[in-house]
Amino acid sequence: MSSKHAKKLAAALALVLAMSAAASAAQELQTYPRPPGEAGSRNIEILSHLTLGMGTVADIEVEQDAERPYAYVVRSGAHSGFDLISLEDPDDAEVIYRWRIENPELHQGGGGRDAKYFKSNGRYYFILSVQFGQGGPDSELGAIVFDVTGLPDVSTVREVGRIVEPLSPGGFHNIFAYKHSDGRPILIVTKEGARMYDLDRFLAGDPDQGLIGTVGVPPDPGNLSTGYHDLYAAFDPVTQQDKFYGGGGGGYYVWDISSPEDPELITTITRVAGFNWGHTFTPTPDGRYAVGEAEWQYQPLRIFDLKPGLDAARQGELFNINRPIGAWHADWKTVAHNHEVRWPYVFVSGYVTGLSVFNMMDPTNPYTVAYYDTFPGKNDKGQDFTRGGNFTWGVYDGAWGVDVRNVDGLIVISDIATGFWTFKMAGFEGWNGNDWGMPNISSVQDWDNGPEGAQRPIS
Amino acid sequence: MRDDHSLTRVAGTALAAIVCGLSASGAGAQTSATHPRPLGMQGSSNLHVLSHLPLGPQYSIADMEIDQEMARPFAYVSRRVEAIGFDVISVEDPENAEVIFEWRIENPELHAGGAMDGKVFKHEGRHYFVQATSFQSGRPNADVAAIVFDVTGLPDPAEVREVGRIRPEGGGGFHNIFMYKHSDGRPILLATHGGAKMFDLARFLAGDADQGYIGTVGVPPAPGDLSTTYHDLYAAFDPSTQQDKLYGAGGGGYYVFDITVPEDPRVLVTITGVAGFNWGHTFTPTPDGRYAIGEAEWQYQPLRFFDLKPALDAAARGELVNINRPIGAWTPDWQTVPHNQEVRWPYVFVAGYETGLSVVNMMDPTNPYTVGYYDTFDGPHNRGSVSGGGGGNYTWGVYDGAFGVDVRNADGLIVVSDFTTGFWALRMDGFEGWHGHDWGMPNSSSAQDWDNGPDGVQRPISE
Repeated sequence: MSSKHAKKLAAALALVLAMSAAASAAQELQTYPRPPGEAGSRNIEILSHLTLGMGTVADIEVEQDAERPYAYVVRSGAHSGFDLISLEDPDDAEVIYRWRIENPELHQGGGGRDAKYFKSNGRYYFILSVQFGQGGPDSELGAIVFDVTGLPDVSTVREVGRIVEPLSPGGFHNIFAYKHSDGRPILIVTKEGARMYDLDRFLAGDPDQGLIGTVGVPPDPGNLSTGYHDLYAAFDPVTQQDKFYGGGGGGYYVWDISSPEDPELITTITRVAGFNWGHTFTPTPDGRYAVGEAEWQYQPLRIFDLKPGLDAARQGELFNINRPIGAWHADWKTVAHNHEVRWPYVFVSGYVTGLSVFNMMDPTNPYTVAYYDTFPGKNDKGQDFTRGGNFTWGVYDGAWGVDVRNVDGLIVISDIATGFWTFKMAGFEGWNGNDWGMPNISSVQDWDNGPEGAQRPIS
Repeated sequence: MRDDHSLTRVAGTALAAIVCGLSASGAGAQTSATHPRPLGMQGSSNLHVLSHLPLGPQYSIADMEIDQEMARPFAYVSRRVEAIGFDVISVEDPENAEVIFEWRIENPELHAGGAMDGKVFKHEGRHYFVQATSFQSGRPNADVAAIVFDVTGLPDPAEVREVGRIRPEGGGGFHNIFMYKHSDGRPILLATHGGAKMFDLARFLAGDADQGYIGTVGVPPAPGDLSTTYHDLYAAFDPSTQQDKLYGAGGGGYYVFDITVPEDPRVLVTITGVAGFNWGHTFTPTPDGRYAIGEAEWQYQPLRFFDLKPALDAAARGELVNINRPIGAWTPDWQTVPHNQEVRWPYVFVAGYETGLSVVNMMDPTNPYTVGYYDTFDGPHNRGSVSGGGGGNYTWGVYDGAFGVDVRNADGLIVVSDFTTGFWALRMDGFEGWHGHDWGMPNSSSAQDWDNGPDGVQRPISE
């Protein structure tokens, strides 16, 4: 080696050593490890934390009636079923009931996935969606419905029926319970598109299980998927339409399901740079904007302006939106998972970044207003899923599900690894859309009165 | 219900006040993390600007190349629109860089399209500069894809002369080009044109009727790919396998071909089906060919670092393995997208559009990190409108700022061409040059050894 090269090498090595020392913190994930005492922002308070069983926790649902302080946490794998948690004292949450699939050791696949509840004819029901693999029992089973009216007396909880699809095994990955403007409690599930079931008919023993119809995914050769991954529905007071919001296929889709038997496509969001399928898709209360999640590492939550698509739909045209107007990340090396919109806030269960809350009052520049990291594990070391495809399995660990109780602003999180959490955010003591100049529309349904803003005959 | 609603309204009012406060405090967050930079923090303390030359209107500046010989202190900046051609900048005194020559296409007002990329090469003692062009059909020179100049006589601009124009079969221009000194001794021009076309420029200079055309490296087709061709090219010699390798970005991602016999290219590695993109923009290997950096030209996409070993091992067994996930990633600002990069292991010099120049250390490719930066672009975030905003799903808003970057290995001079702000020359503390051997690597980078060919080529002693 020449002396010139040796000199350069010595200088360069000194530079690297100095820079390595300065950059040692940067070699870790921005949000891991959090500095001591800074797992959460100052405006987030933990009320309760229950570890439930590492690696077997999935989605979550909280009941909205103040007199029914219950949260449902889905359990997966060998523990498939659900845990019922009492929030009567949110500072001291406790598991009051556990339900497990019979013969769990015989079941294959992920098992429990999603949870929703609904109310009909004065009774309360809980729906557990499941996905069991072939080669074991219940591969054709999609959902199990329980009557939970008698809570907190857990002895009154009883299974009232199962929705099975023998011709289309694989279960339901996600579900959404929607109070349609026509009064029907409708279960929407991810199955060969999105199947819709009239739950009243199901409860009444309808031989078709209340099946109403299916919302398809518009085909496109570049789509990663032919089905939906997640679902949402909301009423639009302006157009008096019930709208379905689906994430899947090649992105996101909005359908008019005012007549669920005859869904009509309104808007598509596909061919967006950075993904060719959609995971979760949630509109703002007025349906103007929507938040889209793509289940891949490095992809932020994207905020879309639906107006061009909605305007075109009014003219009888179909307009595809192919770029967002804003985006948000908790940490660019991760990926957010589920979210709940309580405009202007969006509550995010962000896998390895835990809970985040961002403000989207300016949808072109959403920004974080609070966080609590429920997941102290490492980034990109997820081990539970090593399946194929191009999904970024390494970052699928941590906060899975989030829900918000509108009446008092209680925030609940289900974390794959660390279990169940309840939080309060300072200043957020409840949510009603009207207080923000918005329709009072969120994932929360008014089971007694139906959607806000639906014009009904005076009679 | 009335009580509950009243309470809710009170809470809402309180919350509105909080949000107003948060909005005020969050005003700074309403731009990207790097725009605007804090006052006085346009660059890291270890990056020093030597020269800055604004060259022309916004978007009139494209890629750049620097001569590697210290005796030829010249940088070439492509001028893509309006003043279509290239500028030659003398960096004889790097702290006083100056434009010493401008070449412009004849009748520029009749042309649409422009000049994007430029590369130098040396052959039989003479120095040449190749300017890639791409002009719209129906306009003059629509069939011209590159123009070759003899620049041996620089710094005397009177000595610069055009020696020929490459008109590839099928018409249309070259978006990107790469000049490679093949292990067989040929100076080969690789150009994006229906795949990657290869031209023997020695034959071209000799007046070959086929313009020195050697052959084309295709893009392995796959459903779902955004593109059927390449966007950017690189080539390097692999001493361990004694193979010349082409690294192409395009199609549905990134590809490595064995071009030891350019007339008979063989695919070695594919990187497709990766979450987050379905085409590739730029793809650059480390000097040993073990790792490679892939850029996807979409907002929010980081540079991804791929470990090629599984596929190279498979190729050694005669199998083809597709890689579909990176082992690391880096971004200067997740709301933007990097553009081009030059690898001088362990450093990667990045022209990052809105974020200007960044220097990344990839000694641990699973955790690359920023070691220096200078933001050459102080315009607004996500307001770009190059080519009128263009079509497709490209994220045109972030395509403004630092376009090209190059590094002079002899002394570590860093040069950047910025879409809007022009030419920059910079130095990084402690980086006084680069030679792969100093890092235990082959001395392989985009800089070619035109006199001796690639480092590590085994040759008969009789040579």
